[in-house]
Amino acid sequence: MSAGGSRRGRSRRTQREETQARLIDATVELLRAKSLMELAATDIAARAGLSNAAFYVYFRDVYDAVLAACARADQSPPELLAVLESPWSAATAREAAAALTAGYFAVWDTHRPVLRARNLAADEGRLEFVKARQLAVAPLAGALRRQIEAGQAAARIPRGIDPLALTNVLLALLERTGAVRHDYADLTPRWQQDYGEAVVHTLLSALGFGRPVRI
Amino acid sequence: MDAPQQMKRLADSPHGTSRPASVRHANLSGQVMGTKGLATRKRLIAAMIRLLEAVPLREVTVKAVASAAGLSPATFYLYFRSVRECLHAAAGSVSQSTPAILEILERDWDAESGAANALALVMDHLELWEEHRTLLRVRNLAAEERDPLFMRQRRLAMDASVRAMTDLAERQQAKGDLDGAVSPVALASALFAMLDLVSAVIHVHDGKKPAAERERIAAAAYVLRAGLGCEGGAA
Repeated sequence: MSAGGSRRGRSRRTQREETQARLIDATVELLRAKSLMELAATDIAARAGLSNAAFYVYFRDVYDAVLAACARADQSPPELLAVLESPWSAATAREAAAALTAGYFAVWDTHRPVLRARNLAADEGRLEFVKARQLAVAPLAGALRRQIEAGQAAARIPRGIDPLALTNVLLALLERTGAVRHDYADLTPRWQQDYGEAVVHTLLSALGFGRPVRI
Repeated sequence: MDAPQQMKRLADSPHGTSRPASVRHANLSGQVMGTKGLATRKRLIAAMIRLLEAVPLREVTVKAVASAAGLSPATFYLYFRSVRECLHAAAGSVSQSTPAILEILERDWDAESGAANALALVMDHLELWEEHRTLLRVRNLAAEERDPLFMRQRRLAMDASVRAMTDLAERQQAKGDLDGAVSPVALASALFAMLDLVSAVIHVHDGKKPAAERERIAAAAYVLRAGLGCEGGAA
């Protein structure tokens, strides 16, 4: 007990941050091989070369450690935001949608274990994880919403569709396909490419840049 | 067949114990289940679902399920070897390819009928989620934890729907309404992935706000019909 207190009282902030980072590293590494369900504080502490007691100085429980790891998985990196913040036109939309899809998938591939654990905890109804998920995509969601509103102003997207609702649906498309895109690789010979192109096609169609329907 | 042999046969079977209740006649001791046995099994499943509404899967124990059903753990083990197996049996009976959903996908979708068809599809799929929310949610969690049993189960539940939408996409391409370069099966898989996640989280972000839900449903239907080539572009 007193050990925890004295640790907290120490003024050596950098060492504290280093230890915490080590525990977060260990959490991320373990999530690569283990599911959130199997993850135990003991394992994280052992992996970081620390005692169980040390773990609890920094985190309340496993979820707390995973939540800290989530902060590292930014789903709105600057290059992705830049794609959505520049205006889309018929000439540039395909390239932009392809860059958005590829960029979103790349973030998932880099942070898959942490993002999967976060979504799992969020889907279990843990509000702090629901919030973490919203925060991670908030800048991207804002930019996508402005893109949708521009499309409605230009009469490319029906005005009756709620821009926020469409934003959430298109983010759901990117989020789930990013999460599962490696799972069904047996369905077509070039699955990764086909799946990505299907997402690009759907984004373009929904944003009013689809091929005109033959009337 | 004695009990250990029966257990081994179940464990070795390529289908595990994933067969639906309707074709499973014997409990784990090899006893043929009569009306009473099937009722007990149903009671255990219902008790597990009640627990899963409040507690994550990993915290649900055999003892808790048995006790919630007013039965002993020994009785539980007559029917299932674990809570995971009980979940797998229960979720296996929920198909996301209902006759109603398949019928909508078999219709002709065009610029006029596309809006109504897409809305009906989103509503039917959501209704299915509302009815089996706990089972589908926990099944998806297990699938997302890469449990192969549940990954396969999720895929099977969607399989006929994805195939029907693949056929629809092919018809749209033949009519010239949908870009011929898009892979029909990849498009169907991506659209169902979207639909599944939208249905799963419809209450999470907004609580039960009917207006926000209606907007989300309308937006999902719009994305479906746009993706399938029923949207003219300008509106």
